[in-house]
Amino acid sequence: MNAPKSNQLFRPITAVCVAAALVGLLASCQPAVECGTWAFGDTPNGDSYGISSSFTFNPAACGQNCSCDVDCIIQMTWVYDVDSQTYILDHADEGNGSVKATTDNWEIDQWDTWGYAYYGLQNNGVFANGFNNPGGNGVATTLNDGPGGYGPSTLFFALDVAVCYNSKTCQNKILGSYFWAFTTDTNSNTAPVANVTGWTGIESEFQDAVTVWNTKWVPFSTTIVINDGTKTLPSAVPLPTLTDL
Amino acid sequence: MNTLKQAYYPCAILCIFLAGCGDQAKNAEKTQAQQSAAAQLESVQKLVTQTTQTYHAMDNPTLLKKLTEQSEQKKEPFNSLAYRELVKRKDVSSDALVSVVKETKSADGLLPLLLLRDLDNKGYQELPVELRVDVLTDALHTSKNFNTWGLPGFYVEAASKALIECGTSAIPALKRMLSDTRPAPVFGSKMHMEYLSRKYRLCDYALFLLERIQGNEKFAQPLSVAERDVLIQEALK
Repeated sequence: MNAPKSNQLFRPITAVCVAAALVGLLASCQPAVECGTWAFGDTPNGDSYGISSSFTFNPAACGQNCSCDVDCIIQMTWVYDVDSQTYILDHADEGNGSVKATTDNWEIDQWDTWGYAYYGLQNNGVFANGFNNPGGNGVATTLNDGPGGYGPSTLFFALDVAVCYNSKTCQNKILGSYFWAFTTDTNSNTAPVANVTGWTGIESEFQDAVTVWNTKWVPFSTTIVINDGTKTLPSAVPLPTLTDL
Repeated sequence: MNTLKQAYYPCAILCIFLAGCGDQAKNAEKTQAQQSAAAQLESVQKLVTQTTQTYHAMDNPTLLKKLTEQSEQKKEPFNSLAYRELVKRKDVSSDALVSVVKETKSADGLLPLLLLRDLDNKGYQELPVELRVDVLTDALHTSKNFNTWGLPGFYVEAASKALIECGTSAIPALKRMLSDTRPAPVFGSKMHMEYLSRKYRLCDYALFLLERIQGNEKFAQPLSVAERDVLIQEALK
């Protein structure tokens, strides 16, 4: 016996909807694409938390084939005060807030006087020694950071995003991401909370931070002096569209 | 043909689901850690939103009380919940702020003073400069963290700008601080690294502010403590 016409139509539509919902559900909890390996080291030392976040690009790890001449890292951070249940800024660059912050208060971690969002890239286009040396295929790019000085009961979150900075075939591709976090105890001593490769949701937050950098920070930066000691730029430099490899 | 079509959709769904399950099984450990981190993030972000809403619902007198408490706790203006809320309002009483500043005459009045400067600059400028100097220099002298003042050579925050605006009236108090070598820590990411690297002290902040007050707009702090000490000794003469 044939099903009524309406049922025949309903079945494929329902199936497509269910499939779409499942795809969405699975995607939201999926790890982000990792085209290489991360090596993360942390050194809690009193109220400071030294880290070394190292990414080695291997396109085969994500089934790709690409030669990236220069890769490097963009870092975004978010800091939370458990006692007052609010976010913490280390400085204000306009009025009483941060122009770089997303609605969730994540922001790309960079000095106001440095024009590029890439963590270690100076205004003269040269990567500063010590902050983040560039890498490439099989060569690690390593970001060094040492946040600290926070009061008791602080949570510090960071996402390091490895991107291909210079390539003929995969420039401006996201190669991988790494999430790390630490907390401070009642004496302000630091201890790790999490370190794990990124996931799709947190990379979406990163894309928001990129959008804020380009649409809010870059225009605002024309009102301040962007001079890091190597070169003065007329404004901060917009980030290109960054997509997964 | 119809049977084939009917079988296709459930099959497709099953394949997608199994593929996802396969990925999840492969990354089971990783995904668990990721989910834990994501859940923690989500929960604290909800708390931030709730806290902001709570402050948003407060009336001005309640917020002014909170502002005074947070000033006593030495919160930075940009990290004081009361300041964040009040600075967005158009109906804050300047008289109330002036009253708190005049009552305290000390570091405890810093946030009300800076808020007045933000909201009613004319009213702020009408305050006696000696009162402004007392509040600002006491706040600098008793700071635990120095983020409120910025980082010499990198950021000049509102409190430092306010002190520079006081001009020569601030010089005696700042000169007294030139002899105070206690550390002037700042929290942050790169900012904290810079503090650790340069080992900033209270006297370095005093030197920086003195140079700015005396019109040296391009003054740059030397990298080494020894070089800064030479400049401090010259300024003390």
